[in-house]
Amino acid sequence: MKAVNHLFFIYTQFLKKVTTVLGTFFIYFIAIFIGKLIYTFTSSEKLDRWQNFQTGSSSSKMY
Amino acid sequence: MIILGVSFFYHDSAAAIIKDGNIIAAAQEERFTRKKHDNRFPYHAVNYCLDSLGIAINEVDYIAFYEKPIVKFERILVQHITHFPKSAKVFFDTIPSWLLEKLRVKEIFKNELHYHGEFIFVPHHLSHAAASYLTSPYQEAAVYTLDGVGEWATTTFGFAKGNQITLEKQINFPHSLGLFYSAMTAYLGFAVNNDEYKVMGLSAYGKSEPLYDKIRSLIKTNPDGSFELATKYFSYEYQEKMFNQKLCDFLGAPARIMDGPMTPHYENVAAATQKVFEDVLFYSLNILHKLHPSDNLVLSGGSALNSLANGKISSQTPFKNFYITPDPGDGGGSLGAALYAYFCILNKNAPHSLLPSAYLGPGFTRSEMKTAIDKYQLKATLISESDKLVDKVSDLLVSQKVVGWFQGRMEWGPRALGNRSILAAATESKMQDTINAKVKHREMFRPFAPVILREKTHDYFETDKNISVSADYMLLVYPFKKSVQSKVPAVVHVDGSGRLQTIDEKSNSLYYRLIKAYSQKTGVHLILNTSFNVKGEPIVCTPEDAIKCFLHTEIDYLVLGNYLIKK
Repeated sequence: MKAVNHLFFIYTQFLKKVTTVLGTFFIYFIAIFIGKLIYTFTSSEKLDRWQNFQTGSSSSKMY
Repeated sequence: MIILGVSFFYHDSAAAIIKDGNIIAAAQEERFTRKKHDNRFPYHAVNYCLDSLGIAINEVDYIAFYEKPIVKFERILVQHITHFPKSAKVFFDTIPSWLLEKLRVKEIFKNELHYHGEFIFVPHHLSHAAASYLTSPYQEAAVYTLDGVGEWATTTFGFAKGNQITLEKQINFPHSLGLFYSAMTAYLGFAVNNDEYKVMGLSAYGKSEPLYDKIRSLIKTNPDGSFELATKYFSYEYQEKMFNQKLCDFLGAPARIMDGPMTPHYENVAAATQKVFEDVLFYSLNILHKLHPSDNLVLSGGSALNSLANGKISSQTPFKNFYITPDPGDGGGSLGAALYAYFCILNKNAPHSLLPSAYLGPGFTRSEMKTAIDKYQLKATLISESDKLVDKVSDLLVSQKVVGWFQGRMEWGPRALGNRSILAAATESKMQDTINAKVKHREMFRPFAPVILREKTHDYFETDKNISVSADYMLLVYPFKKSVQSKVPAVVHVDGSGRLQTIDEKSNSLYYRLIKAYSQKTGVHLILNTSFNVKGEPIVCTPEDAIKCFLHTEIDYLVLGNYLIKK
């Protein structure tokens, strides 16, 4: 019985790892998909001409 | 008030320090680490800057960083999203450095140097603009910056007056004249961000006409002075490689492999690329002048190192005067960020200072030089009187000797301007081959540059009436007068041009007096000046670097301060 429990434990750990990897990729692809959607709908302004210069946030900020 | 400007993690890491608005010191990291275009955190350059004021890091009031890292990261993410899945490899290659380093500028300063003060983050192209305008002799000027890419912007224009720099418009990535030039550099088998100047040198051998229309069609210019690249031929948005197979098919030949044979096709590509670059730049500058009709132009960004284009600004645009700082590239962004922080954010009413000189790097005492000489057990003659030193070295130049010339503080920027230079007479054409064989080992199509007494420039070159002070920094190419070309063949390029450095007594007395002494003996008012290094290495920084270079090459004499060393 102990051996079965041990095998079951290894099996669940394996499933956990696979799920984590698949989940990470799933989230990554969802993020790419949402990003593409957002980009498609927000980049209506032509990006290939003069744009207003972007000074960013205040000088103490990295953005 | 002390401000330390820094730039790193892209290419050409550097640091610069200013005190109460006065420029004290500036240097690129590569000179200390001996790794060309070193992009790592500039420990050595920062320490040199602090040592030059004799202070510790926490006595610095502000650290000014040359760009906004999070805005740049936003571009990286958008590039990845829009070009997924093609962009996946580059994204996953670069993401660790972003998460571990590039987005942690503050933490790196805190952890590595225990700095606990304030930070100022200056947008990339404002750093470029400030590097030129705030070291220029002007109180008002039109401003134009162009490089590969900063955060989003690749090109900007605006106007500066007093201490106010207003960049009004920008062209966004991927439309970049700098990246266009770099992509063509890669097509020609040269290294991107390093060998663009080889394309300039090569362009003189080709004819632009056969390929001009094709290459010009890669860039569409708009009536407002902006431009667009035909991006389908370029792959730098999603790959490390700058261009794709479509460009090769379009140009009718495969890309040249590195160190492969140089054919007329590639020479013509170089010639057409240079002409297209110039035409688009001048078109844009002419429209800038209509918007801001100033007599003065300041130019900055890495593409402002295109000395062929720079030499034509006065003739191709209505600007009467123009200025480019000695280091208009990313390294110079460190100084620009510091100056912008002081004059444009913290002390808006203080009159901006001029660049004291281009010699902002480390200098060494006589005893430090003697220590290095002793270490290598060299036999050196001390010539204490500078007049006698100048007389002796000018004699060596007259007798066609190649001289390593190491004096004073190291130059700021990519050019050797007479303190870390290899000097020789320019009167015999074989001197090019001699220096190449003895020291430089570089491609035959690359010319050597002259340094000329400023007051004699019009006797030798077809120049503008008012020669820009940027000629002191070796940033302009002008045609030699036909009548003098045979007198100085070693520095006349195949198209009859020369990338000159002008020199006067005020900016570098000993160097000026050396050339003056040479001119009094020969009647020739210029000599050959090339950087003190070998191919693939940064310019020498310390006396020991100079001795190593001297010993590993066939330079005939080394002048280390007042010491003369014979091979």
